Amino acid sequence: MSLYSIPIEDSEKEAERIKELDSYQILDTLPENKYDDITRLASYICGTDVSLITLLDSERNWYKSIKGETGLTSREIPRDISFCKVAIQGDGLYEIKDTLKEDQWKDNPIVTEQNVRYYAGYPLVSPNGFKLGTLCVVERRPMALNQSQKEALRTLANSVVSHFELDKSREIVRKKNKDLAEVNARLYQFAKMIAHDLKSPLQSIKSLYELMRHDEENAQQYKEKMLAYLDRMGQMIDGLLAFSRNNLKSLKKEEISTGNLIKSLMERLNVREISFTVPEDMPTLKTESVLLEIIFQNLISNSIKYCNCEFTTIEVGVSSHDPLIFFVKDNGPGISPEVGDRIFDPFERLENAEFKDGNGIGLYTVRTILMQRGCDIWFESEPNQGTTFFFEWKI
Amino acid sequence: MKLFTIDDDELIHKLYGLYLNELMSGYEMESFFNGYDAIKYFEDYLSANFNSPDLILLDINMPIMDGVEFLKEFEKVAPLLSKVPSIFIVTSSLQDEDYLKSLNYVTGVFNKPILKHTLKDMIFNQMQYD
Repeated sequence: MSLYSIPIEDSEKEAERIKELDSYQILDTLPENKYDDITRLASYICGTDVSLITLLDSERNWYKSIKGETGLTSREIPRDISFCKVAIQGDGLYEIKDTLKEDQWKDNPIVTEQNVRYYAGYPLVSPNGFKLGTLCVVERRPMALNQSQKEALRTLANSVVSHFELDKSREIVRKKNKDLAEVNARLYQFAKMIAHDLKSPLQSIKSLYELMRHDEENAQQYKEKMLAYLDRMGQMIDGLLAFSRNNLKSLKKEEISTGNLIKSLMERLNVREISFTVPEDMPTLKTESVLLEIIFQNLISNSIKYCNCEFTTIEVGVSSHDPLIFFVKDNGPGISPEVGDRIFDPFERLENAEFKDGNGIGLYTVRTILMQRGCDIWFESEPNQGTTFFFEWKI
Repeated sequence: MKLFTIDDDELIHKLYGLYLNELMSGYEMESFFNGYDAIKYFEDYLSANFNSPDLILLDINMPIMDGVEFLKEFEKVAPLLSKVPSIFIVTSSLQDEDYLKSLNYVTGVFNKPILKHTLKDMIFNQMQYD
């Protein structure tokens, strides 16, 4: 038997194992006392000069902890020549009592160059059953472990995994705390923005009330404006509720077909007598589908709401794949050039006719979501021909 | 009594006009829709040696040049005026009130819209001061 007769692992399972190993984020980290304590203990108990905590990466056998003199200049060896590669294929102890007596190992460079004669290693098994590496002891003379030594080595191997687990959870908690802090900061900004946006129409209503008191002649005109501001505030609060309902859900990235997302959105909007087209080859993305849904919902419902023509057509699609740019096109009345980008402002002059039934918080929300991820939104519009909104989406 | 009102909301100018009509006869009011127009007015009329206003009612959130920027520019022209006006900030801005009060030439900070009696107090104090 030669080195190359070692069975080749199921590549799919091996890919999963590597993924599990990576999830611990331990490869290429610095030595740590808690692991060095374990290898020191292992070598005392087993009476060997060398003890190692090893992790099997795709190409190499990397050492998290080294006790004793390995004779190696780096903290890793090629995976193919390692004893550990074989050790992790079994469930229990892998022991080579005398490497020179085994055909599989006698010509191995670790044996011929480092003079390793004895190896015993326990696999480090993750709670999900993946063997990440080994806790092993190595000696330059043939020997054997007794039963207590074997049991001690197994116990120590388990405690190595416990430390891995603890470090992993600690990292998860740290990351969650960081995310929470970010969410809090964003919520604070958002609350501030909303407070301002609600205060501004309130101030206008109060001004109108004052005007009414001091200029009764024009009271009717002020009343109408007041009502318009009140309606607008109502719309804003509705939009805000919709936004917060979605925003408070944890925004997980999930694999979604944007085509299906838009189709189911259209079903929920329950609109008839609208010609709606979305191409079959819409991209499938791993992204926060909730946000994409809010954006499409706002753009599409705006198109529906403001298309006062007899036959509304709406087309959704992708105008560029890299960068990814979506578009929503309608055959509505168009947006006049004077209005321009003010269409994205949450509250604009009510005097301006175009804003009478304005887009309220809808487009504002859309732009806020996009701005937060560094994406742009813009539109092209022809009076009485229609409007096309474009927006970029970074995954 | 000469007043400048600087606010991008037309209704506010109208409201001030109504208040003033009820409060006094013989006032002079100039309305500006942003800070830049007001500064421009000061600059253009400095050479003409015009009468500077007694009172400025200043909004904060305005396009082109906001109230805070206006105050910075005003610092440059103020020493050249025949008389330094009292500036009252009247805003619905959420900016820190203490910060606004600390700005140069600011006499007071009020929430928008001010009521008639507030404007009356401002004018009354101004007259006593004169």
